Amino acid sequence: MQRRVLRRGRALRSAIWKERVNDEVDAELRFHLESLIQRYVEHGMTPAEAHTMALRKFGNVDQVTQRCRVIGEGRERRMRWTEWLADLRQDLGFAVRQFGRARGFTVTAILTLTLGLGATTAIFSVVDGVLLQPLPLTEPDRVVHVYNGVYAGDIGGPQSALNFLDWRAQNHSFAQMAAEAAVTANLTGGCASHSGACEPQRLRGMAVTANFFATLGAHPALGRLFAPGEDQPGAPRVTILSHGLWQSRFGADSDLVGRTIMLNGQRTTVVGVAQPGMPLPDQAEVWIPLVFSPTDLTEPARGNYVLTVFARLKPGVAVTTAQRDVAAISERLIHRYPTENPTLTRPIRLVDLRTDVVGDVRTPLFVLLGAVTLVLLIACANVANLLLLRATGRGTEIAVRTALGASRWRIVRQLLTESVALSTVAGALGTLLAWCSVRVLIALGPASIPRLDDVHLDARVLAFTAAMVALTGVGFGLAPALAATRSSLAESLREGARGARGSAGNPRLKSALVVAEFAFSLMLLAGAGLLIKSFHRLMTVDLGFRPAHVMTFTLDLPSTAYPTDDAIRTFVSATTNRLQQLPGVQSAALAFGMAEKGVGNDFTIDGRAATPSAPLIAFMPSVTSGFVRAMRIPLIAGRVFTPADRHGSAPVAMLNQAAATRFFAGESPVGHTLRIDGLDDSLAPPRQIVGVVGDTRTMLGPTEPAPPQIYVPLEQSPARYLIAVIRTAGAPASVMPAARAAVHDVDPTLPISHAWTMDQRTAQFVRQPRFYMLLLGLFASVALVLAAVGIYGVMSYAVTQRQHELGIRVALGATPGGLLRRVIAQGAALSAIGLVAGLAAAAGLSHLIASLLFEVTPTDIATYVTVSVLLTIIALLACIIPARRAARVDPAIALRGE
Amino acid sequence: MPISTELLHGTLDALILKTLSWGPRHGYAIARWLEETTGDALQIEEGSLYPALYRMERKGWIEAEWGVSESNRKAKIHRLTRKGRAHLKAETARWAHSSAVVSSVLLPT
Repeated sequence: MQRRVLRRGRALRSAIWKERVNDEVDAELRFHLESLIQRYVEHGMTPAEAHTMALRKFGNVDQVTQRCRVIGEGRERRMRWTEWLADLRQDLGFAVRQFGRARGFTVTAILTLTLGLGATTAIFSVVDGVLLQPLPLTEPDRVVHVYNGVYAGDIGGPQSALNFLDWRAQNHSFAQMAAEAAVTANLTGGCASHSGACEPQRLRGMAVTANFFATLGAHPALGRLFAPGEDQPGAPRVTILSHGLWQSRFGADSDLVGRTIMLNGQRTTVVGVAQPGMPLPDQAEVWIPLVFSPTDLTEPARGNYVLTVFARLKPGVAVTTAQRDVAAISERLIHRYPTENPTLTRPIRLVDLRTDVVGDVRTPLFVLLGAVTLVLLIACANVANLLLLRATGRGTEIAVRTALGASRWRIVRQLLTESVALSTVAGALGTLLAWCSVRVLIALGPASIPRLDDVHLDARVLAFTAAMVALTGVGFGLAPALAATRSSLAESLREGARGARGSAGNPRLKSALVVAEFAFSLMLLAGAGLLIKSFHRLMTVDLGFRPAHVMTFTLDLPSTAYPTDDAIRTFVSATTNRLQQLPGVQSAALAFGMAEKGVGNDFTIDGRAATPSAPLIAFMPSVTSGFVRAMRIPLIAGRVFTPADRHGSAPVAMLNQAAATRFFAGESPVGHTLRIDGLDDSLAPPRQIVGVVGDTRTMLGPTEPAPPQIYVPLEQSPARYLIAVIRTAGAPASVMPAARAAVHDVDPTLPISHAWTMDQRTAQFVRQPRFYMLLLGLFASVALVLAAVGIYGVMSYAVTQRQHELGIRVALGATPGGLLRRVIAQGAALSAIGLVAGLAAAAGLSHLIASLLFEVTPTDIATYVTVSVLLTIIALLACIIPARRAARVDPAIALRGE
Repeated sequence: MPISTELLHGTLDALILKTLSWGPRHGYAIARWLEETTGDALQIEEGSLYPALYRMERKGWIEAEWGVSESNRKAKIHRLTRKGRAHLKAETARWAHSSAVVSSVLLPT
């Protein structure tokens, strides 16, 4: 006990401990010297002699003093640390005993915080992995995607080979400039090292300039990257595989480098495997060198925009400088080749690679992080409320400890230790929860969220969680701790004697917490409500065709095996015939240009001059005659294609409704003649419009209205990249084995890919909205439950507090119904304030999710009314139980005091 | 013959701990006791006791409290802790062992 007092004394002086050590050393050494002098004087020396003698006996006083001070300060530091630890151990032991006594409280608080911290950690790990971690490249900040300003629409920015080469030759800003173009990549051999057998497979291929990887700053996982000169005509055929393909198709074979595989029917040597997680917007599986053909390099091809351009800035060159540089070159090129280079419809933009890769998901992810933070805040408010309620019961204990000499700071520290202990346990459990839920998030996450592979619970995330634990622990603990220690000693002891019902719980603070909880809940509910409504709209949007009972897959005819249009026609008619005759198939068709985003074609209408303000541009899908029937697209005017519309017969076309409205407003297009431009005049025969069909939302997903389309018969305009559409009587997927056999009957080496039902195809488009809706909905539900628990706690506490007053009211003639109304009115008032605040905040912030909404405005009144009503009902329900208890107050018992 | 003033840390520590093993005392008293028991054989500057005392306090072998000296003056009294007692015991055993070994070599009978 005595030692404890000594320790506490030291602790109190700790602020001036340095001077204290100095004083201590000086006093001790002075005592020694004076004792020596006194001894020598007693032995008969003069004071002067004694002084000299003592100093000689003692040694170098200054040196000893200095050394003692240094050691003493070290000792003091150590002592303060051990004292702090001892106090902590004491506080923790006390906290554990407290928690053991209040199990209900402890479990509730920990569960609430676990939800909050777990969800926050999970979402933060996603945000961190996707948005915050640097891209795994050498100096990734210097890499930019160069968007050419040619096309409107979301896939703007491609460049032609000649313009690219001029950019590369004339710029002063880039250390490297590289280009890529999507290419067919059919893998038909070389998968296994011995047999060489391969199930034919279509891969996502990219042709890239030899300096492509160097421009990005990527490195190989195996082998090497492309060497200079490998993109020149005549160079040996080489390829680099993606890390994912190497693992999935080649069993992560470390001897792969140097092996020959069959790619597009050509023997190709694998020279390397790229690093895992190549941070590119496209998910290429194989790269081959981009070799420009003589056609690519003759002037008419200057208008052939197919390349995506990346560049690495020279050190010290700013993005804006480089942007001006590129724009100036383009201006010159447009001036010099006005026919091939159209005027730019948008400025040229340089976008840094990170923004380019994660661009679309940045806002939604930060919205989710904000939402989950609100959930955590609500959880904190709830636990703070619980602590306030508990502090009331502990008023006497605190008063007694104060009376025994504990300072206010010491008691606050004890209470804070308790709350941080709670948040630490919750943080550990929450990390576990996050670890589980991150897996679910990655599985659920739409493919459109890039870099999901980079999401891990790593040291950064754990550091974030630790910081959140500390913040929440202090955050929800501080206000209750200060409130609990504010009341005067005498008051607490007096009230404590009357039954431990101190005034420690500050009612205004509790009310403020409830109001905040309701405001936050309303914000989350409003956001979730908007997303749910938007999702509903999305699911019920009329696609313009009947997706049920339709099977689809894609075919990519390699130009080596199908060098001519006639070869394609033979394949198309043989395959459609076989597919149509399969049992259970109602109709089957092949089509090109239905699912791909792309660039429209220019066309002219005979007898009409094109005006610059209304350019004639439309998409031109080519389809076989069964297409409209297989898709169940309604025919609006004229006729659909028949098998008679084949190669050699009169060229025909069908318009969709959007094209008919845009180009033939108020007039029937049937019977008109149009010409579709190509690079070559022979490809533009006059086509007669024979019919008009309904719009379909297949190309850009259900959120985008159908663009103008001109259908042409596939037989009259053959294409190699085809989608098969098969309408079945039964389950669509069950037709797949027979369909596969039918295709391989025609061409055994042709890969069949993306075998999805039409429903699966359309579901891809709604994966992302569904993901955001589910998460925000989940957060809103948790928030709603927590807020309900919060208002329930406060109201039942208020009823218990006011039992005395309520008893008097009953004694004075108040009816139970009146009391019920009174209590409910109090709860309703609190939630109403929260509601109004929440509505204002939600309306203010709702523009953040505007980009996620489909056919719903961010300030949709119906949604706001619905969630307000919902929240009000929940609030009233939470108040009813305490209110009924108030109505049953027995005045005799209430008035007796307890 | 006087023992060198370059006394090893460990040895001085052990001597101080031994001194304190008979009861708490202040630094001056420790110096006097060492002087009396070793006679003039141990010639150390008394100031060097103090860094040793502070070091051992930091290690937790001794602890200190302000008290009153025989002459009724305020003095810092050092006391052996349990940890210090254990250290003294270990140090004594080590000393006995090594001196026995050295003696058996240097002083053959």
